[in-house]
Amino acid sequence: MRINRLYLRAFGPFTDVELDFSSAFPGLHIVYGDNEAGKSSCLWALNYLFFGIPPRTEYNFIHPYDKLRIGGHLENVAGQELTFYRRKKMKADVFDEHDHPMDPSCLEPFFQGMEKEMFESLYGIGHEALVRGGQDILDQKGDVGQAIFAAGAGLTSLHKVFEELEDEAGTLFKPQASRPDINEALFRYRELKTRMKQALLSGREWDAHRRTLKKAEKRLSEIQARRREKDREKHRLERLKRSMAHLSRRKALIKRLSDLRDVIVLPHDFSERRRTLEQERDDAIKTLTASTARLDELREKKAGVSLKQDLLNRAGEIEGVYQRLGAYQKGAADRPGLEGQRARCKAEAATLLEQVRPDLPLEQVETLRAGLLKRKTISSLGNHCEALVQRIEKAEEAVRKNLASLEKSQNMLSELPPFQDSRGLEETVRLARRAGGVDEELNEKRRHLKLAHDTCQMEMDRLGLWKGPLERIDGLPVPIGETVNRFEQELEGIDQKKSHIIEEKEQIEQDLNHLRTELRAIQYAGEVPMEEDLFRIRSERDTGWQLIRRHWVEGEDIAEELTAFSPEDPVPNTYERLVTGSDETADRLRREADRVQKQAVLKSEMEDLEKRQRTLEPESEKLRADREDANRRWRDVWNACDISPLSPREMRQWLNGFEQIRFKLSEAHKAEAEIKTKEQYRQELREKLIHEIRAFGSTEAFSGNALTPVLVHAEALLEANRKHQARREKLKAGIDELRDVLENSENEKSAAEKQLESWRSEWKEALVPLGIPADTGPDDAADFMDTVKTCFDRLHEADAFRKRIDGIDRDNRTFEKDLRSLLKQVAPDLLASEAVQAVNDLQARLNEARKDDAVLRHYMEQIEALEKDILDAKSSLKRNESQMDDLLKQAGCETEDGLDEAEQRSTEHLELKDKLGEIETTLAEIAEGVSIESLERQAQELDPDELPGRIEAVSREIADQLDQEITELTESVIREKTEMERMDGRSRAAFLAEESQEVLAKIQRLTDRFIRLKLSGRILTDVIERYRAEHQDPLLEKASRYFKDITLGSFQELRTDVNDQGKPILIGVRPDGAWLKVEAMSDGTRDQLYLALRLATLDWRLESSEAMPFIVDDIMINFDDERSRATLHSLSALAEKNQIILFTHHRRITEIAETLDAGERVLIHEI
Amino acid sequence: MFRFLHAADIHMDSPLRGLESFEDAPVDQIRGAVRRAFDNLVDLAIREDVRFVLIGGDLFDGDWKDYNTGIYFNNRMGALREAGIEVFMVSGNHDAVSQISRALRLPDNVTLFSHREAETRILEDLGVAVHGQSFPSRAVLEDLTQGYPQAESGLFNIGLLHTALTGRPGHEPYAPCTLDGLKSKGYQYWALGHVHQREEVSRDPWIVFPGNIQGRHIRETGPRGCTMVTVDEGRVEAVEPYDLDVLRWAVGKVDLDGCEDEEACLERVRETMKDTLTTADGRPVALRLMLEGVTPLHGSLHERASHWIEEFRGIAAGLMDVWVEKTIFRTVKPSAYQVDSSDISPLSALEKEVEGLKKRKENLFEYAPELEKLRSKLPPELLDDDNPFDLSDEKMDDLCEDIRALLTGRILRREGRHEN
Repeated sequence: MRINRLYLRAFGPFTDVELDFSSAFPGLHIVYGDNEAGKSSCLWALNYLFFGIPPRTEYNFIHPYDKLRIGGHLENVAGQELTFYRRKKMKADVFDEHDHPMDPSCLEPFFQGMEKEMFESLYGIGHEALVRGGQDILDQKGDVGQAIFAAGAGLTSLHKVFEELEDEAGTLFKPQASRPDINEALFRYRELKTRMKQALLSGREWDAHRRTLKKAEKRLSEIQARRREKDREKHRLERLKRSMAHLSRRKALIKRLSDLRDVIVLPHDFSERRRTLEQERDDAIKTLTASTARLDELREKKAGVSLKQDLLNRAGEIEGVYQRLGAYQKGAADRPGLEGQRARCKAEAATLLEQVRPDLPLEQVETLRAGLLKRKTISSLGNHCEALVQRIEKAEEAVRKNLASLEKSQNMLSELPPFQDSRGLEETVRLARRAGGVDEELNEKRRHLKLAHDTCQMEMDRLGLWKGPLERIDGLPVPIGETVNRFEQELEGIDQKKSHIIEEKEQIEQDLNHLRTELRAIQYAGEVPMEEDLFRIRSERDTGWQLIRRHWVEGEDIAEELTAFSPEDPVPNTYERLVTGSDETADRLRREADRVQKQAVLKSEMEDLEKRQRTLEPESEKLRADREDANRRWRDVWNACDISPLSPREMRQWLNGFEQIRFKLSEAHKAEAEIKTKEQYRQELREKLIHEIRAFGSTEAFSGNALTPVLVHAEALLEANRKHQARREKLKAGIDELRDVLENSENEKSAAEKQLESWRSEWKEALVPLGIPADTGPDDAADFMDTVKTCFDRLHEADAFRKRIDGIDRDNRTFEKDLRSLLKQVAPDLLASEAVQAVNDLQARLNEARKDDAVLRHYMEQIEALEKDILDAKSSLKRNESQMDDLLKQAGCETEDGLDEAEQRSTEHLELKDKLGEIETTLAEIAEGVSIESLERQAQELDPDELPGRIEAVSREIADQLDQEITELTESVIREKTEMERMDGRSRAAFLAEESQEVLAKIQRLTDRFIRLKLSGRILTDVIERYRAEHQDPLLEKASRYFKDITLGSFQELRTDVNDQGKPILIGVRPDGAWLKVEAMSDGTRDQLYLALRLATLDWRLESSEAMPFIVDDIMINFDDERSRATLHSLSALAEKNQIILFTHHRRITEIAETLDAGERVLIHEI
Repeated sequence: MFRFLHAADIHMDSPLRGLESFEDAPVDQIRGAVRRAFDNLVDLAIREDVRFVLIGGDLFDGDWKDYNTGIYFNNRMGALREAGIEVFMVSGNHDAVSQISRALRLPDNVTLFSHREAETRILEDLGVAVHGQSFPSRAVLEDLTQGYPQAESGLFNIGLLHTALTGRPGHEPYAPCTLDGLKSKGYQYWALGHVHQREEVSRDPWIVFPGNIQGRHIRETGPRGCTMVTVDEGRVEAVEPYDLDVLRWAVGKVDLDGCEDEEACLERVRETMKDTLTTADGRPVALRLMLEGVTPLHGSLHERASHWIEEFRGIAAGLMDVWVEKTIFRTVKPSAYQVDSSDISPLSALEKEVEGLKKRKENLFEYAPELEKLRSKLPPELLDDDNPFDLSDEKMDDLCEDIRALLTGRILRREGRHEN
């Protein structure tokens, strides 16, 4: 494949730029551009053209993403050509020059499934790649396999591939390490397994624990029972030990009590009661003495106090007068102010009346009150007047407005176009609409038809053998399948016979060889005597005998004949030899009859075979003729269609393909007929529609055949007509409505005017009582009324003040009268005093009388209390005496003196009883339910001295034996129970098993990966070795040449040597025959070595694959001029067969190229 | 009318296999999955008030030795006992070698049928006869049903049996018997065990494999549980499967046909995960992703497999409840570079070498001796099951495809060529 043109329509800095790579040779195309001129853009444009524009690219700095467009014209070795464009799209990004989408598979014949990455590897090289490639050769110490593999794959760093495979594998697994992932996971897995095993609980273990527990529990309950028994015993003994002392004390007490049997036992409060009575008696006597003395003293004080009873009796009246004194004083103070207020109000009223009715004196003002009562009526009449006036104005405004609207609507109606009948046009439009998107459908069908034709044409081209217009295909007299089958059979028959003959020939040849071998074997064993030999030697002998007989017996002179018979030996010798010979021959014939026989048979067989061989020749000849005849007839059959046929089998395939095309074509014909019918129908519709449009009055002109524009216009006309009609109707309805409204407005106006008239008469009547003129307006009338009302209000206020003054005068007179009458009765000496002074003095005298009264009352109360106390003390003494008598009786004493002894004896008796009770309580506590009698019995049975010893023995048994055993057993039970609780059916082991399965899954995944990495490394090594074995010789031969050229002959050739490890390595040979390892070469030379290998690979691949453009990006940056020239020279030589596009921004390169004299093989393009 | 539950192949406490833990994996959700599924069985029995429960063998896993498993089982049986539910079991091939089942003392509501001969238990109040026989040893190759008695007339007869029937793929052909043999006994219901896939073998009479109660690896996909049987007047009224599993296994095929970019691919994977979750009724899912179809991402998928797997796990973590068991790449690239025998490029040499490897079926250890060292260190369990060194045809194809993609990728994308 080669690219003839590159169209940079819109990409990077380019707009509509074209690069023409077409030339006689594929050619070396040097694309030169300064820095920034877009060399890189151009290089990438080429890549994107071939393999699509990637989703993200930086070449949109002028043209936006959706406008990017690169095109090219390609040509392949089969002579196919293709022009196509790329846009930046995810899918279907291939377009033709008219921007119609193309099937991306049309690129297949040019790229043959080549992927982007592969193309970049195999057919792209840049300066950096060159340097890395050279470095890699050094890194591998010139390993031949790796060097040519890397160059072959366009790879610059093969050892890195190996390194990475090894590194990754190393992170996964190493046999003797613990860090790599698999090793770590394996360790973890083992650890989990161990932990799981530890967590496992075996059934036997569980059972063992269960049994131990049961046994321990049983034993424990036995021991505990025994311990309880011993406890009881110990307890009993201890109880006895504790009760011994108490028992003997009890015995003593019981005896003492029996001595005090006849003592009178006094109640326990007896002494208390006696002492209380004695105390009470002393207290009563003391009270009596003191009270009598105090009584006498009080009676004396009481007699010294006197009392003013008349003042106290009139206390209420005196208080009343004292309280009224304040009101009396206030009234006298207020009176002059009130007098002033009254005079002011009256003066104001007179002024107000003067304002509105100067003619009327204030005294006659009451005549106006009747008019004032009609105030509301007048006010409401006034308001009504205003409403009527407004109503009339409003009605007039409405009449004016409606008249204007009416006029405007009528004008608009008259301006509308006249009504048009559209039924005919509507009918036709409906028909046209029913036809649907007939234009699009027809276009689509036409396109499909064209596509079908193109496909057929393409398929026909692909099928080959026949060229011509598709129309001829239908009538092409291709033979039917049967004919092809017949020919196939016939030709196969002939071929089969032919191969039979050939086989037979070979068989005969083989048999003959076999026979010859056998014959030779017989002959090698010694000459085989033959009948012919015998006949010959015998006839010779007989001839000799005849000569001898004639010479010797007949005496003829036959010297000459004898000489002729035996020219060398004497005749007798010869004859003898012949006799002996014939005898020997005869003998041998008899003796070696078998060999003779066998030889004869073999010979005869050989003759038969040779005969058959000769007959085969004409048969073979005949078959050849038949075959030619059949071939000629086969060609004749196809001649009619101008086809030179292949074999019948191939032609049958061809016929199948052909029939398919023919079928597709007939389908296409049908589709075309359908299209024509449809087009005719469309034409009819269109004409009818145009006719109706004209009838409707439109003069619109239509071009083309399409129905849609006509239909659209018709629809627009209809729409306009519909709109006008609607407008007209709306206007008419508006006018009718306006007329109604106008009439209403006028009616309203006249009604309002009538009402105003009747109001005027009512108003006049209302004003009469006020005595103001009839033409007074509502507002003035209202003012008048307000003023009169205020005047009346003032007069009313003045009246109120006068009433208050009269009240004060009346109250003061009553007070003075009451005071005088009171003074006459209780204090006539005060009558002469001024009223206020008299009241105050009277009040003071009353207060004095009240104090004396209170003191007297106090003395009387105290006297009464003392008299009562004296009475009480006397009765208490009497009661005390009788109680003391009761006590004496109880104690059995005559006098109070005997009471002390009786009390003493009673107390002793009680104390003894208490002690006995205490002892018995203590004993009961010790006995813990055992009766004291039983305790006494047990005590009697025991020797008190043995008791401590027995207690000690039991205690020891409990402490040393039983308790210890119980502790041990309890511990054992707890231990076993803990064990059993641990075995609670938990899933710890199961969880660990699950966890270990997770690790196992990880190991599996990593192992899979490890296997892949290891095998990859191994396979890569094998591939490299295989590649070297297959391609080393031709590649190195070519590479030698390129290397020699590019290095300007400083190396003569490349060779292989073997290093210390036995691996083949590259060696450069100097013209003087010196060998140079790659390590000894300069960096630049190694780069050139890599380039030589790349070019050799390219050259070598040309022999088996189609050429592809070789894209070279400024590789000669570090080459001096001479080596650059040499390199360009080598490239131009290669460019005779393979297109090479070299991008550079070094002017030097183009200058060198111009001096190359490589003719049309080198072209320079500037961008 | 009464109801009973029929379950089998519990394999108590056997771990789930093939799930590699990763960050955000729903580890807690899968812990003790079998136990939780069994808890579901017990809860179901109590909640639905069934009269008895049948267990058709393989209660325990053969080589599992933790007696805690037995104690746990007894605890659960205790719960059934309190609810007045009886349990009938036969032991299967796994139980026959289980140390747990040998040591276990069953509560009195659990009946384990003898392994010496077929026995019958009659439930007078329900009018039910249960017939059964346990496995005496792991490999029972004779037809046990021959020793089963004929049906008790007037009773509802149930046959409890651990069997492979006439053979089921992936299951040992233990206690073989025929459908006709089972039918000839005249029972109303045959409660079978041993086959892990739920199956109604027959409806007249009912012969049912309930399947196991919890899938344990990727070959046990789909819902798992037990069978609820309703019996009325001596006839089976209804047979309904009940799902008990707490984790669902599924294979999610992702069709990447025409998938152009990474986002689209991830979106399709996400869709597949969501769809799978929908079918799992809210359970977490252990999912094997199977990527298929013709896509330009083919090279990237193979070459950057670990990156992609991380991405898929990320999606799974986002959805919660999804555990990516494994991702299998079966995609095809759109215009496959045809290996042309005349092409002399190193890449076609590589293609040929890989094809050759596929055909030769060489012993990998001879090919790369380090692998033998690894194999000798791997735990035997790994080599038993899904052995990475066992290369059947399909696995060999996958392996070769992986190697081919790996090397092609490394060679072609080794470094940027004249890139800006």
